[in-house]
Amino acid sequence: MTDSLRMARRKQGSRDALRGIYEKYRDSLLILAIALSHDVNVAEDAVHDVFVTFAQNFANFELTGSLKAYLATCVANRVRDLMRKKQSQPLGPEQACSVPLDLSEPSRLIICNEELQLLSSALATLPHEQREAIVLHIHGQMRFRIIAKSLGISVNTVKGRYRYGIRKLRSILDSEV
Amino acid sequence: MNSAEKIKRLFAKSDITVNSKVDDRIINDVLTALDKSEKTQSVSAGPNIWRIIMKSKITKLAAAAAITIAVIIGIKGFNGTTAWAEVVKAIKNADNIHILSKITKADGLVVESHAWLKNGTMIYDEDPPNEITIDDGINRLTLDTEKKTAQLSDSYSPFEDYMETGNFEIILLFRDEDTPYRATELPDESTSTIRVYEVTYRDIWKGKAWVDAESNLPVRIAADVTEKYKQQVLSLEVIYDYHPIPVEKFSLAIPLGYIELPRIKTRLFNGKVIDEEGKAIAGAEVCASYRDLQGRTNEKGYFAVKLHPGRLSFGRFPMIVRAFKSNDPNRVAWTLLRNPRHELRPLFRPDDGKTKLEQGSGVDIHLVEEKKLLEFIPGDPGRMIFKNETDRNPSEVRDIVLKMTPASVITGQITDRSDKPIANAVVWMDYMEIAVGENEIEIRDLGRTDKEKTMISSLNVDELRGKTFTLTDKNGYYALANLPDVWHKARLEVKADGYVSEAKEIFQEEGCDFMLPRGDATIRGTVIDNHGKPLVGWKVTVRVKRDLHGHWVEYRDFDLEDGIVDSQGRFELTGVPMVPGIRVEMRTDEKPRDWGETELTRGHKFIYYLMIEKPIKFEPGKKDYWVEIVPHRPDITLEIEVKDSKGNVLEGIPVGICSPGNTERIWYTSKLNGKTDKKGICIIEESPYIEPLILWICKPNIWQMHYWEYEREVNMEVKNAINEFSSKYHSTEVTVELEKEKKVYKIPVTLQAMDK
Repeated sequence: MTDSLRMARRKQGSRDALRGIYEKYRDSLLILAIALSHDVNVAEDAVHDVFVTFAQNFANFELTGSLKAYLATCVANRVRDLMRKKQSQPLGPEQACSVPLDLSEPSRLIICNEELQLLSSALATLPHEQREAIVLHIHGQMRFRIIAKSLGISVNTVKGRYRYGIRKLRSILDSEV
Repeated sequence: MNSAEKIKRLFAKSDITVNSKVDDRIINDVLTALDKSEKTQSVSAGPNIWRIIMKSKITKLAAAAAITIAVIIGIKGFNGTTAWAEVVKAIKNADNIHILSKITKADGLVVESHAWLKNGTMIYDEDPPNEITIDDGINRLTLDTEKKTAQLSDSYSPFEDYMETGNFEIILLFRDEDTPYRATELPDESTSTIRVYEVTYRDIWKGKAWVDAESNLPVRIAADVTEKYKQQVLSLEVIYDYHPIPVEKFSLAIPLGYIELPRIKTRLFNGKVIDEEGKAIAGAEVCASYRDLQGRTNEKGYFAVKLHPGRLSFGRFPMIVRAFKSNDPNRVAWTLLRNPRHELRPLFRPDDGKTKLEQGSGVDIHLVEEKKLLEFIPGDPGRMIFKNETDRNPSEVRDIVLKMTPASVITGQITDRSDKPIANAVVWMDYMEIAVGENEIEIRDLGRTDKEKTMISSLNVDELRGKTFTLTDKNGYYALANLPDVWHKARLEVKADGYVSEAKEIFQEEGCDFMLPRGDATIRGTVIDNHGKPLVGWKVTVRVKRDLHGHWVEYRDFDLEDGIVDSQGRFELTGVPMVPGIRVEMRTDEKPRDWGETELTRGHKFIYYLMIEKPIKFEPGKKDYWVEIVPHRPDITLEIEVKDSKGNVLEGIPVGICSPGNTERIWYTSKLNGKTDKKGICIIEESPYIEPLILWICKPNIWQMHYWEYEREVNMEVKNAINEFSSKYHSTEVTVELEKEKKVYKIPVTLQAMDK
């Protein structure tokens, strides 16, 4: 990925490369952030902050793993910070992604589809740690080992959180899917 | 379908629609940040690793060691020779090491510094510009040469291997398989006494290393920073010397003119271990769910466990403290330390609204009834001493009382599928759960025993960190001893060389035997599409699925490394346990949106090919399997002819395709969108074979509108066309009836004009 980053930089110049990276990963990262925070505003802020920081260090950025995993971890960390800052009592499901596709509502800048709404509401019932493990593993497609490394915890803790989370979600999903 | 599968499916179907205002905000800020950073780059930038080496607290020893080890590891990885492993071994075994390093800065100034290390425990380390650390193995003195202050504390040596900490953090980076460090022996320059190597680190620096051929110890390393990175440092030279260092070098006498600061008090927790009748127990091991905390009781049963003097807190509470005699597996004394100043967090939307989460070092409490929990905790957790009113972490925990109780021992046997016992398998406890009324306690870390500490270095299993574990004997039997006897559920995991790991949830009174499948089969094969193109870089994964009531359900994940498709289209999966129901699946990590301008970018950026899963026929005893995966490349051509209700051809009508509701849906991109020409025909090539395949004719859509703004000029035309025609004609959707062998589809469409 480092090579492709460098190549992108060389070929397109930093501005276009950054724009390309943003366009490529935007939706995936926003979905990740929404699933983690259950709050579109937090999600938007997290993705915004991560890309701004990324841009600040872009010229000298050296990456040894997957760019996607790197960005996903950054977003997850940022979401955690933002939620902590907000002293976040998570929102009810109706506050997050429930507005249907409606062009006439100008204030709604990010609109989630039904699946994401359901998912985000279900995940909101879990502790943040478990949510993080599930979202990074399933949506971020990161291996447990990589998640553990990036969160600075043991692989089994991540696996434990994931398993607990999945188990808790069972009852909710059984009734709703 | 299991929960994980459902969540995967929900994620796959999740989608968002983003207003362009969001993009505008982010892109503007991102580009502004980029511009700013590029302007300041010449002042602030430097290669990261160089900065780490030069500015790190670890000082010159670190710099020297980092380079030395980088060279060592790099060469080992690069040449595959063992010669450099010998050098690592030699330098680790050296009793006396003196390093002189010289850094030439950009302004020509040469900064010299020394570091001495004796017997691995005594260190004298100069950290320019103003810090010197002297550690004699018992105490440590830190001098600030600028402020003229001297600070004493306990030695770090019981907690740190000076050859392996600090420096080692950098070294670990290099140890990764794809280390950017490279070294090549220069046979022409090597002699019978000295071997010479060329060493490089990316395009950042380049130099040479000289190694004594007899002792395998490095003698000198010199490296120049490349032109590009010479803003801060020009070059580095490290000279090694292995002559005996006099012990006086590590004297802790405070130099004249220095002010002695109050000694740093090592944080500790202390208490007593007693038996069931209240009598003191001598020689009991004490450990806590935090890996550094370990101790032993004296003759009167008292213990005092010290924290690493450089650490500022015990870690997080709640924490479990456990004591036992290593020769008595059936008894244990334990208690739970909880911090009264620990901020309890509410669970996210708890069902009942009253559960709080108390999350600590390896112990989580889901707290509902505090009173019941307090009644339950055995022993006496003692008193926490806080230095200040505002401190959230205690500086000490005093007067803990641990009282022996009968312990739980989990035992079982590990065998292979033919009932042959597996010796030396590692069995560890992932977690145990304790229910106290409505409270739940989950313990994942019971502290490290001496025995575990000794064993851990010989085992290469990362999962063992902080875990209670043991090895099986020659008959495959194991026993996890000295466990608190109150758990109702636990999870064990087993790992053995050549076998596939297993995990199991068990309940009290259950034995726990494991039968491990042997991971000795190899699956090789190809992933080449129907046009003969190998799907380079795609991954092939093993899945095990069982047919349950007509549905294929994934029932286990072996967590094997993926096979990567090479330029010939081949892949290989090794160490696969062959079990009935095994399948291979090709996939890509990307979940992209753009069709891309070239086939290369498409292949990566889009789920261009549909996922293929192929079952493998299980044959007992067979070790090698071959599988050919032939994904179907999108090669359908759609010719859409648009007319109005009077039969007149319509020019400039926007046409696009989509596949709503499908996981591998198609997005509206320039490649799959077009406009009708003068003859009223729009041709879309390379459409994927995907159902349902729906044509959208003259259909405005919020997503399209947004995306097209970012596809710039080309799509602005289409967008304008939609705006133009959508006021004249009713938009329409047409489902394409796909047939297996058919490549070209001619689709006539009639648009109804709007009533005036």
